[in-house]
Amino acid sequence: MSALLIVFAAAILVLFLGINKPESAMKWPSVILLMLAGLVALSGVDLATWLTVPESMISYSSMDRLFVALLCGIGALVIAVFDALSSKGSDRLGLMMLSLTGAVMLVGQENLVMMFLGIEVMSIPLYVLAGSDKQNIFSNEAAIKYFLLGAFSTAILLLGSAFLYGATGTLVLQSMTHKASMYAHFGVYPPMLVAGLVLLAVGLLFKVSAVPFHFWAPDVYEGSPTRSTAFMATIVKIAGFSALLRVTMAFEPMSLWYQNAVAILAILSIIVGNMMGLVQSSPKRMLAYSSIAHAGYMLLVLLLVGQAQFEADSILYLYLVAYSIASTGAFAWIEWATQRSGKMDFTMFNGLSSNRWAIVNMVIVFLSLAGIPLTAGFAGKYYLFASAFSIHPLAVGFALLGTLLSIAYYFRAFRFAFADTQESTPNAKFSWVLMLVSVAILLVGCAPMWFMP
Amino acid sequence: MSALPIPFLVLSFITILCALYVVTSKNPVHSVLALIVAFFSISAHYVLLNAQFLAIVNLMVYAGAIMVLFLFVLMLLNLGKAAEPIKSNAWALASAISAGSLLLILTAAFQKSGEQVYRNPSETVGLVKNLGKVLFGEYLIPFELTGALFIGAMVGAVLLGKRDSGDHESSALAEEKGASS
Repeated sequence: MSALLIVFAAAILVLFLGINKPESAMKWPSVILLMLAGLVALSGVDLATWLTVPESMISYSSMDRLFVALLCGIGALVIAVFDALSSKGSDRLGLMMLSLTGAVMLVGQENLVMMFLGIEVMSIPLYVLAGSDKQNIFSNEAAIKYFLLGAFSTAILLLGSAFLYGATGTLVLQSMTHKASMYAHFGVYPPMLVAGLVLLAVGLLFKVSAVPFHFWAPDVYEGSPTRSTAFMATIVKIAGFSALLRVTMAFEPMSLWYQNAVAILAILSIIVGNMMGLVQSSPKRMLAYSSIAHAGYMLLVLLLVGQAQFEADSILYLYLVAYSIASTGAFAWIEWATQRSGKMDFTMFNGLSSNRWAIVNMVIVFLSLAGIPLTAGFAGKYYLFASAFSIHPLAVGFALLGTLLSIAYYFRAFRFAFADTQESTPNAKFSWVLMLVSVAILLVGCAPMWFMP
Repeated sequence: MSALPIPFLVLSFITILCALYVVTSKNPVHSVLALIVAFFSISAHYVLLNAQFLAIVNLMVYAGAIMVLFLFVLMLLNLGKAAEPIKSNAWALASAISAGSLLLILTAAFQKSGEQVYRNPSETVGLVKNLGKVLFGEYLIPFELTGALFIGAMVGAVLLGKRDSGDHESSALAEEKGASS
């Protein structure tokens, strides 16, 4: 709860202090404030002891605090890695932090009201951030597309919540578990409960862009300014999967009923994401499909819920750490290469190999996304696949196949980078934060147990 | 299921009729007017459910503010026949089939769920006094956090709506700096 208040206060502070300054003036202060919020979440100190928050609304277990720390850390990383815009006013930074406030609320929610509020607080600034490059027509398209589809998905989620309330008479997730276990005992589920759960899942799956609710993702990811895209691809995935995990845990007594549906969705996401990723000509679009595929892998975590021998939340946490660091790095690379060459397709990587530090970093980031050993991506995938294999071997088989496919398109970037071109290669400014990303990836990859709670 | 009360049937009939007219009407102003009638009858539904506060708020916000906004936008846009984009029949067919099957599934599912539904515990739950007590007691935290939602929406609206003169100035400045250094 303290971290939530700090992030919210930081958002307001950055908005007001940066009102007439260039955005770069507020860049490092906001990074420091977010790091502070993350540290407070990690340490678990309660700064607001005068505040009594009912357990049935919002509460942070030690695991949730780790998720909050991850959210704050990734938020700080996204702000730090990308160059600040030259424009006046720090409203974009403020909006990012407001969106982060919603994500933190979503991680701690215990109640459908809080969940809805968290999703809205997270999404509305994102719709604006998607369209924040006002001169760019693709950015406008991304914003309107994301806004319309997002509004529909929220409406579906609300309808689902209303049905769930009608079926169980409560909005508190924990009380819903009692009801669900009661129904599971008799083996009959009332239609209203089933319909509510399905609609709720549709709303959440839209947010994490799992197939078949993924149609918005490629266009929105490609059109939005790259910083917003990186923010969307990481923060929303972390918060969305944490919420999905919590809902799944609440309805765990019904696991026999939903397990196959989850496995099918995971397989579909993996196949569609990786197949479409293969044929893209724009790296940003390729990463969008790769994030759909990653959503598919992470859906496998939901199969582990309720199995006593696995800790689904810590496996998901490790995967999210690996995915979000590497994803931020990859988007930062694309931004860097675009600035350097002024191109939007794969040729932006041409001749990158002449810059030795740059190419080493880029290789590490993309290897981690593909899941090659010694990188964070491998650690995340290893724990996930090894645990899920005993539950649903078929889905894990598809996931392995998808991983193989994904290597093909991640390595395409290298082909262009090492291609011998006669083009002159202007060296853009190379950020030391990007080096930090690679170091973090290697650290998580070599010693994953330090990051497994 | 016992016989439904007459007022409910009449109101539902009006609501559905108006909602259908909203979708089928060719003239956008007519659809907006039909939408207002639909909102009024939904408010009447709330009154039937003993939720006076909700009924009034629904009238004020939807039938009042939002509908007036709709009408303003329609008059400013001056939508003619030419402005309407041409949609292909395949899309219409696909959406009709998917929406129709959703309707079919939901009605089939809810047909026999009447007795399992959670019922309102008391008649006074929707009164303003009780609603306020719940909102400022049990639901105080979500109520307060709605502030984050509103400030996000406001800042976003200002960001999208403000003119870009500042951006141009500062980018011109940056270019000058780059040229001089």
